[in-house]
Amino acid sequence: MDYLKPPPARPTAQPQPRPQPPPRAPVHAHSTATISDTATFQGTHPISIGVGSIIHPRAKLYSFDGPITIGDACIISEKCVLGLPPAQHSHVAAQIGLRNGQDHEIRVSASVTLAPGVTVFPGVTVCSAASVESLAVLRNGCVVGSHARVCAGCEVAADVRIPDWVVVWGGVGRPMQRRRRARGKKSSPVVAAAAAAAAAASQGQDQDAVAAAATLEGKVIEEARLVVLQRERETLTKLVAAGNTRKK
Amino acid sequence: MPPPWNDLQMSGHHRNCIDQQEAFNRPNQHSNKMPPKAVKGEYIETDTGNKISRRSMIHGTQHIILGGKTVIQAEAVIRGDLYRASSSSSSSSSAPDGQASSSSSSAHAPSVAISVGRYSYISKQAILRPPSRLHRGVLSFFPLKIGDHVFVGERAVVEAATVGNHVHIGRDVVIGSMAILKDFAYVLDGAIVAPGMVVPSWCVVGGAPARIVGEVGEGYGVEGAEGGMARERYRLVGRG
Repeated sequence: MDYLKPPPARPTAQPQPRPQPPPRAPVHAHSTATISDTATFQGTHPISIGVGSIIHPRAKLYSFDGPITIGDACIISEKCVLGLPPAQHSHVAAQIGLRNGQDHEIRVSASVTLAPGVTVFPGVTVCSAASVESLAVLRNGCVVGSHARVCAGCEVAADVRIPDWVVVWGGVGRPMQRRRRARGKKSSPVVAAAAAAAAAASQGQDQDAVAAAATLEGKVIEEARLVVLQRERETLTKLVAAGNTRKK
Repeated sequence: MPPPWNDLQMSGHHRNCIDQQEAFNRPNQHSNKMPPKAVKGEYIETDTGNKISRRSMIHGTQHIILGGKTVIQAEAVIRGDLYRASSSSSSSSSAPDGQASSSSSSAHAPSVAISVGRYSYISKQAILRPPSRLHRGVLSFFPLKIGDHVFVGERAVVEAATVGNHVHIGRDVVIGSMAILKDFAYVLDGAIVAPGMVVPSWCVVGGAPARIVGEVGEGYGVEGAEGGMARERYRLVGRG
């Protein structure tokens, strides 16, 4: 009749809200930063988040190997992993040659976008206005220059420096490709249309200005992108904050 | 459960025995089945047959529509919280009289951020995220529509505007913002579909950035054949 008895210790009978054994990192966030409830902050070193930055739900920041500094007006999307998670810490750290006791700070400068699923290893520097797209991997010690762009799925090897204004892409089954972003005049129809739309949206300029914008400098396009980024942050601030309050 | 010949051995109490055994068996099944179900039940099954992992990360459930018989696996992130905040942007341009009536009607029907059709399958660690674009000077999110019998592979990031029926999205795929995948499109593993790209029906795309590399074969997507295994896939979820 033994088998009729319920199992002595029922796992369901533990209503604990899942204690977190790893230490919660000391987070210094600016009051205007929007941080989702479901973002994870663990580690021993401090994590600082700048003015107006947005941390999406399910982003994970682990500061076991060094502090994490996130600048102003950044967007860290869902499922981004910054630093090494404690579960795989020991063997991955050995694999990539991190030395204990040394500082491997992750620096993310101002106006940086990290798209969903980006992995950032310790010791990475992302300079201002760079954008790192979905599922990209930044290995330890690499530097992404300002206004640079790491396209989706790209893996930047350890200690590689990507210069300013450079786009890298590809890398799935063949070498990564890179080129310098156009900064001079550019008059392809796509660029013209995008510029016209951006100009109309950002300043509400009249038709002459839009026509003049048909040939635009790359710099202007980049500025337009940053304006859009600013708008994105405005929208996200509302939505992420709404998500936070609803759960409480 | 005791073997059936047990009661044959006790021939005298044959009938008695069976009764007893049945009385036995019922609580036995009850106590044996219920706790494991509550413990290991990885999936929550809804009324419409959606199988949703308890470890999935779904945000903004009120803005998500699942067509039924949809599978969502563990650690999949679904961003229903990024819905279109249309009431503020559209009402500012419309007349105040019309706005009052329209906003009250729209308040009852929350805007849809993500809709998923029947027999679609969202694998582990996939991310579904509505696309965004600048609209009247405000960046707003647009609904992500996913059709029936769609497969989304592991760690895929889908930011498409529309995903048609019977679309296959491989693992580690990124579908860029506002891309459109037509019916029966097939995205190979690791492909990066550029933002705004339109993948025609029956096309196979791959690479980074993705290009059309071929067409799916004859008979693709026929029920039970290659590309038509969505029902079978659904049935196998949560079994053992």
